[in-house]
Amino acid sequence: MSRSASLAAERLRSTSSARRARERALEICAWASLVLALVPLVAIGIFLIGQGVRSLSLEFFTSDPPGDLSATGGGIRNAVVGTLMMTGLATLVAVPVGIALAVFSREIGGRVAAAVRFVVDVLAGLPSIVVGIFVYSLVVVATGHFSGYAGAVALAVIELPVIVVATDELLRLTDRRIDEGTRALGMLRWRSFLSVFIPTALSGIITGIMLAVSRAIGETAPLIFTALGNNFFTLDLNEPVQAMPLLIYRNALNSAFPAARDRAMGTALVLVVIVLGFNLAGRWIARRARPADQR
Amino acid sequence: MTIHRLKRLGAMGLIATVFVGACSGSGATSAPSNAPGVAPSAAQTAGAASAPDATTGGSAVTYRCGKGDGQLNGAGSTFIFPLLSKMGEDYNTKCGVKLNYQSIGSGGGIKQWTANTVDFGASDAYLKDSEIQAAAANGEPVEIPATFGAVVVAYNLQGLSAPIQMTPDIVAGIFLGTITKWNDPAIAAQNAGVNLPATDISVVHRSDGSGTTSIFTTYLTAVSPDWVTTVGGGDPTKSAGKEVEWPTGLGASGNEGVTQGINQTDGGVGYIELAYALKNNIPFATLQNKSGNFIVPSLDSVKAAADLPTYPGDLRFNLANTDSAQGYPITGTTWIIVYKDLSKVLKSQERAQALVDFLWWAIHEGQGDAAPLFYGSIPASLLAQDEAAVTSLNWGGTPLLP
Amino acid sequence: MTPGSHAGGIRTLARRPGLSQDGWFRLALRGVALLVIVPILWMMVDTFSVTVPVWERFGIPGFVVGARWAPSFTIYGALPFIYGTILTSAIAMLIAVPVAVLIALLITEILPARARTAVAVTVDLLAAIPSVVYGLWGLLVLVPFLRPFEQAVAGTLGTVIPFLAGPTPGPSYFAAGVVVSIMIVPIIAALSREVFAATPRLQREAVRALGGTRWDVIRTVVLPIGRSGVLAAIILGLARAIGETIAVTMVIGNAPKIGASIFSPGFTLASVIANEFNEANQELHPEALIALGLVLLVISVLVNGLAILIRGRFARGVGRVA
Repeated sequence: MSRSASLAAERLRSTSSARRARERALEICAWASLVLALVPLVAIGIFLIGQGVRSLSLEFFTSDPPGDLSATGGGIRNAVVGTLMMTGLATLVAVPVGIALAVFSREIGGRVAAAVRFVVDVLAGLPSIVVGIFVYSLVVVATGHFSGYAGAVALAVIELPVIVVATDELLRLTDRRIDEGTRALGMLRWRSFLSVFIPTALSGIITGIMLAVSRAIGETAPLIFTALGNNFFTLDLNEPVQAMPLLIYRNALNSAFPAARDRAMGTALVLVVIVLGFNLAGRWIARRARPADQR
Repeated sequence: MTIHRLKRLGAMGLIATVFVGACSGSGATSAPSNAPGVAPSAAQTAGAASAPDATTGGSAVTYRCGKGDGQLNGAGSTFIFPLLSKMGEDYNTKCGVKLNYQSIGSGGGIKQWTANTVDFGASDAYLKDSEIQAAAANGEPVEIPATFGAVVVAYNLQGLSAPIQMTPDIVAGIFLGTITKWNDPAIAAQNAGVNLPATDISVVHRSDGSGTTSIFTTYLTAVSPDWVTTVGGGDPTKSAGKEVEWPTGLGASGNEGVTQGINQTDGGVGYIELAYALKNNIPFATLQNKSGNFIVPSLDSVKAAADLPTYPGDLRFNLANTDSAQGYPITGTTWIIVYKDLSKVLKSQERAQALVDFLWWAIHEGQGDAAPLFYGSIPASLLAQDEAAVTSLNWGGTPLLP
Repeated sequence: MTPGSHAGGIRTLARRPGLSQDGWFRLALRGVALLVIVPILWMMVDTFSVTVPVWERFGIPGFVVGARWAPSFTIYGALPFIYGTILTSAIAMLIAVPVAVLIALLITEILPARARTAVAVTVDLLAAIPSVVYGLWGLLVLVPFLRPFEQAVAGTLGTVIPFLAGPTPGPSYFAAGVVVSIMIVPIIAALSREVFAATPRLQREAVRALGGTRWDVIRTVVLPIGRSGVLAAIILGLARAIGETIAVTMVIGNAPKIGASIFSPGFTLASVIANEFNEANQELHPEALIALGLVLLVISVLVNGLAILIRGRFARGVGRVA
């Protein structure tokens, strides 16, 4: 391989101190980048805890907002339940469909698969607000009212491309020899995917799912025109439903009502904790699923 | 694998909630129809109050407390939100009906009301002819003035010895961008003795379709020909409205957003509803009204402006640049907007009943919530017309209020 | 397993009547694809078909290049928002890409194995934070924090370069760009990390065996092999930056004009739709907003198309399935 030969030659040519300096510079830049990226994380954490922790209590999770916004007390139960319901439904739909689409484009190939990939890429690039508009005209106008179902549909459309892209990227990186091995063994294709390719890519796929869910849980824009929001508790997805991001968006800048603002800040804290929980849980699962020979 | 088990549990949980939801939500799924007779609903709700007695305007006002589906949905003005919020809570305590109001701006409220995705809209600007046209398929609108409030010019300057006094020209100049610093001679001339700093003026206006904007720009249109020229191209219908082409400034969403915008920038200035300014301890300007008096925005000056000798029959009027000597010049009204014939837009007569009962309460006992929140209540001279408006609401021709 | 098809572990070549299991598999995949893609396409076409009157009134180039957005005058033009989207995304990418790629390299190449997961997880936490919280923190904390910096730049460079001039009200293109950059760093970093981690061990060790340093490994093996993957990560980050709505709308100042400097308030395609759609009931206003959505879609399709092109040209994958 000429690459290594030229490398060897280069090694003989250049002085080691120059290379060590380059190495050091790289390390410094990389560490600096890390610090730069973590500063906002810490700052946001401090901000949320400082603003939000005083609202947390058992009542906060078990009761709903007071009818009069300016009143203290009450909680965000309706928002927590609404978020979990809509995101759960959305994920249930998006994950199998997303993986199937990725498998489809890998397996079938050709023009049709290219077209599918194109559509998914388009979806991935769609701002969540446009998704909200689509679902508004498709579901809300058609059914005549805002609903949690519309919200769930919007979230599913948002999660889908993330899952497809992550699965696709991971399947792509599957070693060719493993693929040829399964064919040589005469394995049925669906078996190959289920038993070999997907498990190998599983950690990455699960990370992709977790990214998708994290994103969906925090989405506000598509819910503005679909779930609308509701100040009351409901389990009926056919009615407008409250969601945590909606509650935050509508109340956190509400300097007129400190009580509402405090509840929103508390909600922000809870939201981030929930999302973190999903994130970490996903990693733990991925770790358990990873075959032993990989890092 | 754990993840499959989690998913399966989640699926079962969701199916369960859907079932529960489907069963409890069935009340809202019946097609709109002329339910046979009014009698059943009257019998259902009779327990809550004494027998309906439609004496109007006197002390013998009674409330029926129709339950409907137990919830009413509304959307619109952020201006009235603090008041509607309180009213909703009080009405829930009294009648067990929940008010779900989404404060998305007057423009949004009208849009959702037109699309029939909410039971009522709330707007600080009465419907334009084009908006009435757009809603014609659903029926004729009824606009009910529910409350009055002041739009104040609030600012963020530290260390002033007194509130700033402004003439209409100053207000226009600031929002046109021709007056750019707080120590501009025009401002200084009206505020002798106040040490105005040399800070840049940072204008904040509404970015969403806003009734508050409508009130404010109606005022500016009335008092400043420059405003009409620059912003409206000479056309007063363009220089006033829920949205205008602002010559300068940042946009923010809702009264809360503008409050935030003013608060966070030294030298910031914007227009917000009085309650928002008071709750945030933001200073606001004293404005010179048509009669030449410098008026402090307050409950009294709002009432003075709102108290007209007569009101037009269709209940569409502007209070900006009031003729009243002690009236605050930027006073506004919020209308609650509903369709006259509710049979075409609501799913059941019971729900229509609940809506009308709430409105009847809102213009009577509900008005008690206004003053503590610095909103003006409906003056006696307007009440009869408001009552007529609510009484005109019907279900396929049958009046909903006995 | 159908008997007879696995004699000796090798599939028989003789055709059986009807579909083989593989055939059913492929059919099922096709079915899912159709079932999902067709409704999505139809949904898009249906929604965008309402924008026809906008194109008719202003013409396609007229609307896209139109610099004035005045719903009260029924005048609509997309340029202020296209400008805002490009400017905000450019600022975000300028900051985020080097930071994210360096972080990915740090994690896969420099950190000891034990620290990798912890650091990777910590960076990924940035992605966990919802857009609305970024917007909130951005407006209440970051914007005031950046303001003295903005004023310093505007006071010095800004007197010479109008693009960097004041006044600096706070919410601006610049503020939005900074907030968005923080949001896309974890996306680019996470995907780049996966790509770098998938570099074949063999090639990595080969360079080490020849005496190469970590930087040599990165330079000669990790980056070249991972180039298409990193590019894909960057494009995904860009797509996110272009489409970011809520955080932007809370810190960009919401002014539908082309601001004179990066410290002026502005608007992006996504944030204007969020702001105005709910109450757009002036003539042609909702249609114009959806037309903006279409413009946004076209831009993101172009961006993604570019990525695919680049990926195809430089692909030297580690191995491919199918």
